[in-house]
Amino acid sequence: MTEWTEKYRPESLSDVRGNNKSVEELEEWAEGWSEHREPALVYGAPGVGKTSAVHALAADRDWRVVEQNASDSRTADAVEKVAGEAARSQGLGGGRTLVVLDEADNLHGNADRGGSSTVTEIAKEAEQPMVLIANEEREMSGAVKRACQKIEFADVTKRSIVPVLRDLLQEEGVEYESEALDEIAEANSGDLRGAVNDLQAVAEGRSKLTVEDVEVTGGRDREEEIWGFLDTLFKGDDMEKALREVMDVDESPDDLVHWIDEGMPKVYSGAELVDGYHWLSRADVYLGRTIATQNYSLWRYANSCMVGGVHSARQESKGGWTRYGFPTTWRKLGQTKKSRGLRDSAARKVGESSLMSMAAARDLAFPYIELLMEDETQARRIADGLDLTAEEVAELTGMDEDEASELVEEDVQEVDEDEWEGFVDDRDEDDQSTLGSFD
Amino acid sequence: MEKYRPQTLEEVVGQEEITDRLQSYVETGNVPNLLFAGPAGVGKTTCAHAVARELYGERWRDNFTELNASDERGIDVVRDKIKNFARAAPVGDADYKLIFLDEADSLTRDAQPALRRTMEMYTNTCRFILSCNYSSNIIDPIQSRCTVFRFRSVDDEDLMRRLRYIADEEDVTVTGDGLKALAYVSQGDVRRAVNSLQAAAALEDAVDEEVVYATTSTARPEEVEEMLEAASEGKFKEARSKLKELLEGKGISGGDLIDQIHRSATDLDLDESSQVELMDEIGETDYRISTGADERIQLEAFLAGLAR
Repeated sequence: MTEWTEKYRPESLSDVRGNNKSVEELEEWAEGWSEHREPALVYGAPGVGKTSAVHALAADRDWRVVEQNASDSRTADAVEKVAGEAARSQGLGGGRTLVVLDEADNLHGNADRGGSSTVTEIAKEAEQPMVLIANEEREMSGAVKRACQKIEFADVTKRSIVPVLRDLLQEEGVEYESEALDEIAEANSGDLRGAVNDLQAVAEGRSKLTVEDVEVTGGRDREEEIWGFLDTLFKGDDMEKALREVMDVDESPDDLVHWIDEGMPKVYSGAELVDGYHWLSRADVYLGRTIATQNYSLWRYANSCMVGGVHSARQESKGGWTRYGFPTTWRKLGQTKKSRGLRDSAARKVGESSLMSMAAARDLAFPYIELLMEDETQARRIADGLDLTAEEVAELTGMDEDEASELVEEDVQEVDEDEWEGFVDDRDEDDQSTLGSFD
Repeated sequence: MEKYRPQTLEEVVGQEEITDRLQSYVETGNVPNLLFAGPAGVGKTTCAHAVARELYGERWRDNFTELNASDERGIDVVRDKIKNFARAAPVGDADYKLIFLDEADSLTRDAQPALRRTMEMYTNTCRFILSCNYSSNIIDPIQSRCTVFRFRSVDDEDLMRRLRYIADEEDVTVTGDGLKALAYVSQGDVRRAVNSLQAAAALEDAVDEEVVYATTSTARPEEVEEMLEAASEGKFKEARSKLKELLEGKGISGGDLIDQIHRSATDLDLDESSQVELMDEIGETDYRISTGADERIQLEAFLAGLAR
């Protein structure tokens, strides 16, 4: 009557599948908690067993669990009330309470105002063991990361997923063809929970599971599906077929255009690229017009151009196997997002220490700070004065992260205090009020 | 139309593999969280309703809730409305309730993470069915918590079989050409096909091609092609009077006609690059009209341009 992911959720850490090393680290963290008293930050992709491991840990140690996740409102007050009180309480009768803040990378803008800095506060002064769980380590603020012991959960390999599925089926009394399990593991590369969900979807209520049964589900093997379509587009003989197949590709035109952009130069050359990119550009124009007019029926012309146009641009027949990649533009976007994030967090620190808004810090102060930081001694002082992280220093100075972390960790005492007066924190009252009026 | 919305999974058209699987969930009594991806009118909503109906019987509405995420898509809806429904106990002897979240891809980016844990926390009292056009717009952690079914567009054969069945039940005569015309106007959208059949049958005892095109304000594909051919042979006046006839005589809207011209492009006797050029031209025309230009002038300019 229940979902297998719940039914077979591990009850003890020793039952957690995959990620043996991370599980060990978690165990050690818990074992040593009363000495180091640091929170743990457990991070990794969806479905690899983070939440399961944390709950299993608590069960092993008879710790009570207080949990907060993104489905709860997480304003500063709410986080403080639930997590803060639990974390600071000494515990009745000596029992420990594990404070779990799930989806800690999803404290959200306005809806969760102030939640993030409250988390940092609580993490610093917690009297009870606390675990933060996140998908994206890099979305977390530097302050939180510094306060925590980081434990990474890697993707669960196909090789580790298959035995889990096998055990479940034995438990459920379902016979199986082993290729069926391979298929499921393959389609869910890295995602154990997804694999178990798919397994239940196809196996429950059957006495035997065959490869054919498995082929029904499969929204998750996204790359394979799109690669098949790209072959039809770049190498097939039939434009109408490509135009028909695109209707069943599980990618919206504004995503598809990036897949085609990534694949086309790997198959086309010379004049084919000239025409091909003419059509990709036309497609892109229609995507822009769709956004501008909010008239989604214009999407069909984007499709006509990126599929029909790109197909008709081909001049000679193409064959062979092509390694189509994941669109690099998405990877880049992730990177610039990180860089923007670092600039924002540095700007916040500059702003706080000199009473400017973040925008003012970015536009007015950064040019000077970057200039000053070209000098290593100054850079060290600024980093120390503003409590910049190595990553932030690297972003502002362009040095690599190793250099930056050396710089951040070095002692700053050697510099003459007077040189620095007035810049960061030591303004007198009058100065502050003048500056404040700029805000 | 609602009368012939399939009540059971067995009646759903053209998605046999999916409905078989759903059927077996219903039989074991255990429905996992589901994500239905696919275009409009291929049976996503119908399947969600049918699952509920077969699971709970007559009083299925008691344990079934439907939210359209494009109306209510903020994080507060997930935290308040969805969560409250999810945690309340099911009515009667049901083991859990079903929440159908239509157009889940329009949930905002911060609402989606809030949904994911709710889905797991209340698995004892509630299961989710999410629908969307493209699963890539649903964040990975939610997909990981769902069994994903990709609904394909319904092919014409399956569609016509369903229409034939309904026509027989209703004692309506439909000609073979009439069925083909219904398939043409509905483009794989079963809902639209059944609506069109109903409209046509209300007007005439026998549903043929002519009445289908008339009631759906659609031009016969041949007429569209004749107009395009005349234009490309430089007979502009002939093409123009065809256009006038379609717009004014038959009352077809500019938007519908443009859609038909776009679909006709691949049927014309042209090489592939010319077909694509044509589709681009018509796209340009459509765009100008959607920003306020006059549809008749733009269509005339398009036709005149074909003579080049």
